[in-house]
Amino acid sequence: MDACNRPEARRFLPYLYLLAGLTLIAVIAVSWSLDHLPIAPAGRLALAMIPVALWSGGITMLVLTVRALDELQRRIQLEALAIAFPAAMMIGMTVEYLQKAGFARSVGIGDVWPFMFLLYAPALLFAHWRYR
Amino acid sequence: MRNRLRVLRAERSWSQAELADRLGVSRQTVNAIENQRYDPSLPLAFDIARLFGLAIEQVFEPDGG
Repeated sequence: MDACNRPEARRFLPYLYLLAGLTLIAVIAVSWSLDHLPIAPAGRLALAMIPVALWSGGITMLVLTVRALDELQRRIQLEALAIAFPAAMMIGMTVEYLQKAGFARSVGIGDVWPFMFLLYAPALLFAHWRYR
Repeated sequence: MRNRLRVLRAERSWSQAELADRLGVSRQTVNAIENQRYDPSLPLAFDIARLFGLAIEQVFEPDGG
């Protein structure tokens, strides 16, 4: 797969990886801080927004990368998202109704959204395979 | 849509990667077009025809054509 073989697309990848890494670190650090440290409400709100601010930059880099891809690579990304996004919704709905039926423990949105990312990888592989 | 991309490329002894570089697309895109798994957009089809110095209909033709 040479999805990002164009220099224009590769240009944004280091920033994307950096922001993704920083966001992950921020999520862990903020989650720990909110659970364990006595912080005033205003401070808690500010802390909670740190990962959001970092990932906003990540989204910007992601959009710039996708816009620099060639037309087939953009189609592959779209098809991958078209599989991953509704599939994650389906998992969310399944969990919700299993909960209502009494067959699943209580889960929050934070337990479900990682599935969107986890489903994106196989969906991307499938889309690449279609145009191999 | 059928195309003569593989033949035209072979006549010039270009690799898929070389053709991809000249067109500013990925090698996978060239491969997918050659194998008729992907029909290029009109601008890319014109770029391909222009690169080979041909009219677009000399490179691409509809399946029923």
